[in-house]
Amino acid sequence: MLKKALLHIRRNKLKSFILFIVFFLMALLMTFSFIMKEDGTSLKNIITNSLDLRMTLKGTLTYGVYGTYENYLDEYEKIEGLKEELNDSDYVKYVYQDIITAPGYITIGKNLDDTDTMVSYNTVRNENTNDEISKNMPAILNEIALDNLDDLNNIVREKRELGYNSKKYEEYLKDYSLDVTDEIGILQYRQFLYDMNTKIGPDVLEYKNTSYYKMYLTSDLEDYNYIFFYNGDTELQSECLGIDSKESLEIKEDVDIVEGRNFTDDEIKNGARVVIIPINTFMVDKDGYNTKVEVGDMIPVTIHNGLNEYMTIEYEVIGLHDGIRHDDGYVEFEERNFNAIAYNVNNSFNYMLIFPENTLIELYEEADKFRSENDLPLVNSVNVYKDEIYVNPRDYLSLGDLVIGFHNFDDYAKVVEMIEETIDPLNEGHEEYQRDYHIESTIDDYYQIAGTIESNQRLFEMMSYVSLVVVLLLMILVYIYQIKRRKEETALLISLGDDKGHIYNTYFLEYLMIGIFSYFLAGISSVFLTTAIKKMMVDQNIAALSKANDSIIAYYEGYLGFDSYHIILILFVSYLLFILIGYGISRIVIKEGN
Amino acid sequence: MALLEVKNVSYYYQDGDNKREILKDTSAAFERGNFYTIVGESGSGKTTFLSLIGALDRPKSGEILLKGHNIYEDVKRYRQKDVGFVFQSYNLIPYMTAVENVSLALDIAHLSKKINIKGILAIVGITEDKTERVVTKLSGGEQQRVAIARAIAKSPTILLADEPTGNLDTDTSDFIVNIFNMLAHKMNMCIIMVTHNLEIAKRSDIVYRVDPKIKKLVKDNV
Repeated sequence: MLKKALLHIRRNKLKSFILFIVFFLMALLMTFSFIMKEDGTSLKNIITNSLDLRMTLKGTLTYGVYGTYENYLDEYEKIEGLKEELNDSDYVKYVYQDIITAPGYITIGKNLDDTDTMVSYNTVRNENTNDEISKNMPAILNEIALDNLDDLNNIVREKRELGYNSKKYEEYLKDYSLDVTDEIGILQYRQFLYDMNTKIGPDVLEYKNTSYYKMYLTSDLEDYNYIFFYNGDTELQSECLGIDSKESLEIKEDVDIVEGRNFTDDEIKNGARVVIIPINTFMVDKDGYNTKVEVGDMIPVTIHNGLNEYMTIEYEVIGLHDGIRHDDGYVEFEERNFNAIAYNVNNSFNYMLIFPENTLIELYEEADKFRSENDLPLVNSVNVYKDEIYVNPRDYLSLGDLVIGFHNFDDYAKVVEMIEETIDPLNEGHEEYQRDYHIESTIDDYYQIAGTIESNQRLFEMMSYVSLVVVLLLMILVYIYQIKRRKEETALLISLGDDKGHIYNTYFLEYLMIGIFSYFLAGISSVFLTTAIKKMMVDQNIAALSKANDSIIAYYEGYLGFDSYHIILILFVSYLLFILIGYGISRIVIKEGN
Repeated sequence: MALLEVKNVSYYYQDGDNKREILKDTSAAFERGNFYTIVGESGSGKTTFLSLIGALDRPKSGEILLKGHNIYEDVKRYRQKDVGFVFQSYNLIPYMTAVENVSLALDIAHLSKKINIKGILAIVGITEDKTERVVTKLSGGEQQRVAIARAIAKSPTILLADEPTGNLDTDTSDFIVNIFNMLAHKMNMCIIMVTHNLEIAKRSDIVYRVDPKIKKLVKDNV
């Protein structure tokens, strides 16, 4: 059969070539349309994801939202089941509310205008007022000046004594007042961050999600000096999870320590160089090779300023935890962690390191002492970093910035309007230069591009489906024509005793072979064609940007790479259809013939 | 028992409400080692008769028996092994060479590839240099010889030929008739040839004529 099919192709070069061209053009049209359609979506996503709606929200609104909005939404949908209930715009609104009304926390630090060191307590979200953003906007309830570590510890202690009742604590804060006499100079800022690291291995480039503590050892007035005590839960119970002994015990109840042990009472009380780390933490060396960290391993925590390492303290890994999870899959701690809320909620806590509070304080004291004795620059950070536990932080978006990525490009304007409504009252009475709340964006350019892409995409979408139908119809017609054209040959073969099914299978095999070849070439041609067109479009779009930045250009360049998986899938599916339909026609013709 | 028996076979075309009878209750018998010709006026039903005994078409009534068995019991085998066809318009596969055309028939009949195809082609007068030519490059007479070679390569018991000399010159026609005679008398085949050429019919052993009035085959003394 194969021999005969090949013979027919070989001896009928012109006819086969015409058939090839027909198939080729059909496949080209189809793959081209599909690729352009899919890439339109990709390009739009790229632009959407590269958008930053940046707002400088000074004061106490210290939320940063990173990553793609889409990632967050995915997680949010899982947790809240909101997908069914809310449209995209509502999502944005809801998420925005959630960001600014994340569970309360205490801030100890400095006002940005360098006036005072202060303690502030931000309110906890009131779940009954989700739709009223301004109502839920965190506010400074009180300010407490600090002059030394004792003051900080006193606050913690007193808070503890109040039983972590937020209502009581609010009252307590209102009555509390201290004058600033000195800078703190010790722990000012601690924060859980979540990051996406690039890890270059021997063969692959892969990404790893992680989080880290970022600790600034500075009292420089230019820096933000905060400590966050995370609120217990959404029930307005103010608790200090993971930072003092009681909350460590609470973690003991919630965190699933899968290997090793929890802190002992003594370790919590007096501090010890021990740490509980997430399971599946890896040590990464300079070459990108990693080794799993086990209980009993020593983790070096390096204090440095990003350029110079100052000192290293080693901590023994005593336990591996598995994150905190509630029955419904919701990770309670995530919501307390205002940064994590913007990330993969299910993952972020899984990457948290847990130290006893006093151990951390020792670390900060040691680091500060080291800095002072060696007259080192003030802007330092303590990271679990470098060749040990490789948790490479990306630039932290400074406190006071709110960044929202958008899932739906079209929501941008609505959100801006919504935020403006929210911040306008807060800016009231201030001259422009005095205003604490600003929105910064260069959205308009991108908006325009997205519009073009959208209309192109619609065209290609239509083309892709129309071409699919047309191609399949044409294939049917061409195949029927081919069968009819070879009627005499068919009759002769039957007279020789050949089976009709066998005859049509042979014909079909010929078309299959020509089809495979033409599809293959069409696939490759589509890639080149679409790449060329995309490049042209991208160049035009970049040229149209009034403020094209490196990031956008990089995104565009990334976009020029094609998704081979996608193309193969399209070709495979269309070819499969081709085979099925072609074979189906053969069967019908045979049946009718009999 | 005759090799091939046609018993009370009728055939008609249905043209709307009109029934056009071609053959009516006709019978005939054919033996090995004989060269038969069927003559008759145009449209009398000669070719139809040949189609029926070649199992290319089915009779409306009656039966056709090969060695006592209805040929439709295993029509595929009948076409593959027992019967060979030669048509007026040669009906070769145009994109194949002479050898490939013969080989194709053998393949379909699942016969040994060891058969000396070129030898068979030589018997029908195709010289070695023409055996590997694509058949469209051969003359009409040569193509008909290839068609005969294709039909006889599988050594059928019956060879059916429908006006095989219709498009050929006298010399080639003679040659082909000689071959048919040789196949019948030397190779013990049953040759049944439809022709309108009475001169050729005279050279066969037995002549049948389709009588248009009674729509039957009758033996004729040409």
